Amino acid sequence: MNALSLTHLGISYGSRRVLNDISFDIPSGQVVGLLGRNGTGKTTLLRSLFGLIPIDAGTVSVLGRDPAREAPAMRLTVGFMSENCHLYRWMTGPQLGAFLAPFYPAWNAQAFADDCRRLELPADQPVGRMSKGTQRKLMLALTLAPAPELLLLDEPLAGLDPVARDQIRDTIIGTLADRGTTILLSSQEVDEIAPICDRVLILGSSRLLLDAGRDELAQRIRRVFVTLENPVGAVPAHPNILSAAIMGSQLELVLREFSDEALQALLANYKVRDVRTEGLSLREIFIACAGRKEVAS
Amino acid sequence: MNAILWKEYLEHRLHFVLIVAMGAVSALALAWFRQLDQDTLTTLLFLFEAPLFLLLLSTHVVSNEVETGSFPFLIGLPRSRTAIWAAKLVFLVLFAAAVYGAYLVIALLAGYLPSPFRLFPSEYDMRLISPAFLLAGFPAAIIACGFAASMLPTGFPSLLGMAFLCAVALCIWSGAHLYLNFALVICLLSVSGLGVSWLVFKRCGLMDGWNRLGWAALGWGIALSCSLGIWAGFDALAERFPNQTSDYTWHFQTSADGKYLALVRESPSTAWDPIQNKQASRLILFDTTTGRQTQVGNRQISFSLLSPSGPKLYRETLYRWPGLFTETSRLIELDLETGREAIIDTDATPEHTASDGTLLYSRQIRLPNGKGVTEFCVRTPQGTQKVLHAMLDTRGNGIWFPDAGALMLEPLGSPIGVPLLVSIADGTTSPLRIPALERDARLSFLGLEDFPGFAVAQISVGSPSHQFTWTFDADGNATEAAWLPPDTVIKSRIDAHRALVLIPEADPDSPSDPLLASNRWKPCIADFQAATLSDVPGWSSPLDRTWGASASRDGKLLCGMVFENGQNVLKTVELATGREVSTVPRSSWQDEVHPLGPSAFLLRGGSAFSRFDPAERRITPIN
Repeated sequence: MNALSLTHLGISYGSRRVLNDISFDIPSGQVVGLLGRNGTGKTTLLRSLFGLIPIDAGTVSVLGRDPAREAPAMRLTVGFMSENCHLYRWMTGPQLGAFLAPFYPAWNAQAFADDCRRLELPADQPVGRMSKGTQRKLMLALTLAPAPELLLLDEPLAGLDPVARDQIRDTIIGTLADRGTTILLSSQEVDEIAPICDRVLILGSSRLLLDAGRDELAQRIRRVFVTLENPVGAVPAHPNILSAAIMGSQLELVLREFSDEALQALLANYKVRDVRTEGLSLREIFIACAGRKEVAS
Repeated sequence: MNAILWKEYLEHRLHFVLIVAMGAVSALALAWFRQLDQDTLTTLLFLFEAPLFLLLLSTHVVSNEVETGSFPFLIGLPRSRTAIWAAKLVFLVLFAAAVYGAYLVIALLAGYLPSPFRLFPSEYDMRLISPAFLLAGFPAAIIACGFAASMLPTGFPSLLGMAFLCAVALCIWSGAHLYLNFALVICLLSVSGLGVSWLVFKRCGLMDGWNRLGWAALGWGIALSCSLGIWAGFDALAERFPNQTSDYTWHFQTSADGKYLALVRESPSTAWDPIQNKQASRLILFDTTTGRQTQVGNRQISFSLLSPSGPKLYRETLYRWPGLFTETSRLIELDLETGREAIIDTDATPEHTASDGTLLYSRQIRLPNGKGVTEFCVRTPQGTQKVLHAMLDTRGNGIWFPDAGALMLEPLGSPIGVPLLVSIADGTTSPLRIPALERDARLSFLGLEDFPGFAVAQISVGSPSHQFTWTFDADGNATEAAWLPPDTVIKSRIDAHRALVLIPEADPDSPSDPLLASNRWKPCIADFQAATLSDVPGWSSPLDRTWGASASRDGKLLCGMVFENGQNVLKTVELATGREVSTVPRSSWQDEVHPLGPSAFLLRGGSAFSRFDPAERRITPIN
């Protein structure tokens, strides 16, 4: 069963199209990393999935519900942790827990207390006096307390010190192990989230540029070093070339949907002396996809 | 909702304590400066402090969440937006109730007795404030409009809060002009504010864009349109379904040329009326020749006066400020030819117009010590005004002898004072010298017809009263017209020294029955210069009864309603010769006859008016 299902999603801010024709499904229990450069619509996408902003086109199903019309019921089983969402600064952690508990029938006060203890959250300090990392950890504990089936995490690691990052990442992984929760998290910290993601979505230019599993990435996107007989002046034009560089008779290409057959077809018009391929890290893939225009130009 | 209410309570409990402390400090400060009276304290607490604090809170209850970044957290709760919006609203209502309750306790401790109180007690403005306005209407409008303003981007809530205060002032101003139905105004304003706040809250995502302004503008536009529509609907219903059975004319007047008929009609129906919330008094101006009718002014006309010299209409229009019990009035001059209006004075009543167009009016002035002054003023056609006389602590009737150059005042009170004669030229005052009138006699009525050089007044004396006729010269010397029987009614002036009068006649069947006698009148001509009373030629036996009768303005015709040969007829004769001009059968016997223009007559049967042209034997309904 799919925890999340998007079909031709479109969102605009006024006349500006922020997201266009986004379609993907996320099966239950999967951890999905949502990557993209600044302003590509990651936060907008997560907010729309949580029913905070309306969508203009397409359909969205979150745990079988339409967030536009069934947001209150949906939010009982979906947790959302936003980078730009602030807690009440005059409340302490326990006060916030007491405030939120009546809203969630599945609120687990013990789990909340355990998370607070594990994340080393001060019980008597108002939010306004907490550091940014502590606030983020408190928000994570509050998000996890109702035992959500789906977690939407918007930049959960941004601006945190390494210790706090580890604590939050460990909590997410622990949550995964214990509950099998579906997680969609957006982040710029590509290397940090790479180990915990089963799958990666890359947004760019209001579209979904890449949707691939972690293991699948190494096979589908590869870097190709080609040595030609003669120097060439231009890179062969093909939609699967994410980036390219020319150094005399040396070509360095990053190809998606890589296969030997596709590579042979691409180089059919060239006299090839040698071909060598290698896999890419998630960071390199992100840069190749998200920075494609700049590299190509 | 309870959790949100509890959160709001925790967040604003300190504000509540501060607001209550401010109220208590205000009461103590008033006591310290020896200004602690009921009116000052209640004005300060309920009209200034509580509304101000409530406005501050309501304009920031949502905008503060947006500014501090907690708004996404709030609307991310598993509740609908409407439920969260309603929780905020309920909190505001509860907070307002708590503040007003606390202030009420402070006021009670300071000696306030729940009752209407006066605004600005130390100033001239002594209007009374209704508790319903203060404790329900005003806070409701503040909460609704403040809540709507709190949905707007940073800076706008405060701006809108101030704009709302200006709107309240505008509302008061327009209420004074339109005599608004305050309950409806508050209701529409409150519903509009709530509607706009709900629309913006529901439609504007995370409240982080400027589109909130657009939605708010759209919402207020819709609210204004709907309000005007509702207003117009109520207005149409009020006009369509007045209480016809109780709609009656209590004052009417015709212009000297007979073209215009001004009616002041009162209807006690207030069920649908959006403009006024008391008995409507409409001034309707009829063109007696074309039948065209126009409503002049608002629906609170207390008096109107047509100028005999020109196309001018003076009216006294009442206004009341929203939420206030007392009312004020304005004396307005309308030029019937141009349609232009001019305010002549406030709290003023038109009394009389002279043949040259000079207006006599009275105005009331309330002094800070609670006493009142009635001033009588004249206004010339050129616009110059002059105070003739002022009477302290009483309101009197003023009767003008314009041709005698004097004003006669009848002070009211107990005991009734001696009538005064005031010179228009120099304002000097002298008591009327009425030799036969005993000092302790009670004057209950004064009436007059004015003649060049002298005046005729009728004075009722005794209980049961009888009416005697006196003439006065410009020096205030009075002479009883003993040649006129008691209870003679002067109907209309015929020429420079003659008037048509009605002489009461005893019923031949029961001559001692005063009730029957009062129904029988005989028209006669009284000559005040020669001190003679003569019959109207052609108007005698076999006439059995005469009800309404009047001489035409040119003094040539006499028209009256008589019972003749077993039927009611409208009979017109020439005053000089007694020649019968016309006799028109009438089914109604209740017609009154009044002069209309030089040679026509106005017939009135209840609220129905008709124009009668004797020469053409034509009766034309006017209304």
